[in-house]
Amino acid sequence: MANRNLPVQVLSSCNTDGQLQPLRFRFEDSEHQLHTVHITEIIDSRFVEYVGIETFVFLCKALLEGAEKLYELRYTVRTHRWTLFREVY
Amino acid sequence: MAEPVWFHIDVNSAFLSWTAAYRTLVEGRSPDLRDIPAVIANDKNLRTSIVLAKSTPAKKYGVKTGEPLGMARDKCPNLVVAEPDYALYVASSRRLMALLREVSPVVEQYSIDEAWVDMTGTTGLYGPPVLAAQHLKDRISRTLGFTVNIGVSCNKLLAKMAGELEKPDKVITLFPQELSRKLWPLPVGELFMVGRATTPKLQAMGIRTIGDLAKADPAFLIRKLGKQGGVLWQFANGKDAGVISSAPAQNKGYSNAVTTPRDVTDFSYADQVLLSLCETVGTRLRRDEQAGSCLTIHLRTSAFENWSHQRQLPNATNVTQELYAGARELLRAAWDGKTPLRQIGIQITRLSDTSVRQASLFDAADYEKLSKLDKTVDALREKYGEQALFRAAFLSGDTPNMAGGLSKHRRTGITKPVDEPEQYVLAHLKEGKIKL
Repeated sequence: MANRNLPVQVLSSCNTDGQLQPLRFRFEDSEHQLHTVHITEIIDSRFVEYVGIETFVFLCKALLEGAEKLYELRYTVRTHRWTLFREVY
Repeated sequence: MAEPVWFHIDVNSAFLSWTAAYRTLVEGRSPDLRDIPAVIANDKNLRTSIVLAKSTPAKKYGVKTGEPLGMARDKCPNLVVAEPDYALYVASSRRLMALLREVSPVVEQYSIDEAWVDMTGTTGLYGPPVLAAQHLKDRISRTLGFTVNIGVSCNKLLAKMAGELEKPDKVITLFPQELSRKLWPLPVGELFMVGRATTPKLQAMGIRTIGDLAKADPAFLIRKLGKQGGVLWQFANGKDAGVISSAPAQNKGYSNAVTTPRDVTDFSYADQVLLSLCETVGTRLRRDEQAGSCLTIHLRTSAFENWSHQRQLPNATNVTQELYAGARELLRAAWDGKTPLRQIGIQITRLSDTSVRQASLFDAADYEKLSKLDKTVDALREKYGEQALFRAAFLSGDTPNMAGGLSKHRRTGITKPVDEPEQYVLAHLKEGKIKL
């Protein structure tokens, strides 16, 4: 599916060593309904700095209305903003 | 002693690559600007807009960097135009330089997108130079998302020349034993430091390729071109003559030009533009404590013809009033007052420092007084901004009181090495100019 890069609200935890982990996020769909997504597992996380922009990338499994979903969330260090980069499935 | 090895790293069409990488990798947009005919240019004002960078597909249409956007659109009707984002370019450049510093402690930044890296004696760390360069090139494109060219050789000059041979995304060597095969067949204009002015001079001497220059008699070149002739001969023979340094060279002259919002067709408008350019050039001269005695005006007609006219001033000066008086006379000598002009520029050369001034019998005005006035005006503008104080002549019309040069938010860190990017980026964050 196409990349969305949609700004989202996130609840996350931060470790003593600075490790970041998203727990839940809320996004607005195309019909302007809000959805809260509980992340069940973080499959992969990595740090990228394309064009010098430091970003953490998380591949998150979640259950949404009974169906398993895979989302890519991104956290940009400089702006302190989370985005739902894409919905893998 | 290990043999010297230098890398020259150059970002392939830097502004376009950076914007394209930002769009695809950070924003997740497609298509990639690098794969379609695209340019970086300010789209808001078609008249003054020029192409700052182009993609490889755009190059195939004959689009050139520096040409007016309108011309580029004529060549390629489906051209995609992206706005420049200078804050992004500073951030990208800063991260690239930081990565290079991880590789070697000696990094000499040459411009926002170019640097030399001294790799002498690193074979034990990274392997032989060509392999190390390939590894570095791949690391940059993998971690930063844009491609670079790396030129590899035994000195800075040859490393830079190597990087220019073929693009994009290449590692190219140019060691002295490869000169005759790789460098010498090229036209002489391709050589570092041979520009538009020198090329015709060399061609007139029958020197067409870099090889011709290398085989010429250095004494003959020095006789014809002065000291520069000897340097160029050394360059053609692959010796960098110790003149390439990363310290910025002192300015040889100061110039500013502006493309006016509408064509200039009368003297009163032209004078207003000239005065505003004199303000800018004068301020820059005074800031660097320089004065110049050779004044040139450049005019570009609406038909893209270029005219210029120059004269020697009786005294080196940096006083706005004197510059303006000189420029006015030049304008009247060079222009009929009717032919529509689209661009006006002034240039001052033959610089000397301002500690002494030859007293002249012909000084029209009181130099001391004018000089003091300029100093005060500069101080006020420094403190309260360029608009704080301006001449009444700018009350009417659309000419800014100080024309030419980069607009304020682009003035730092673009052509010169980035000194304090942090402050720069922070300032932009505050003003909301960075879109992340």
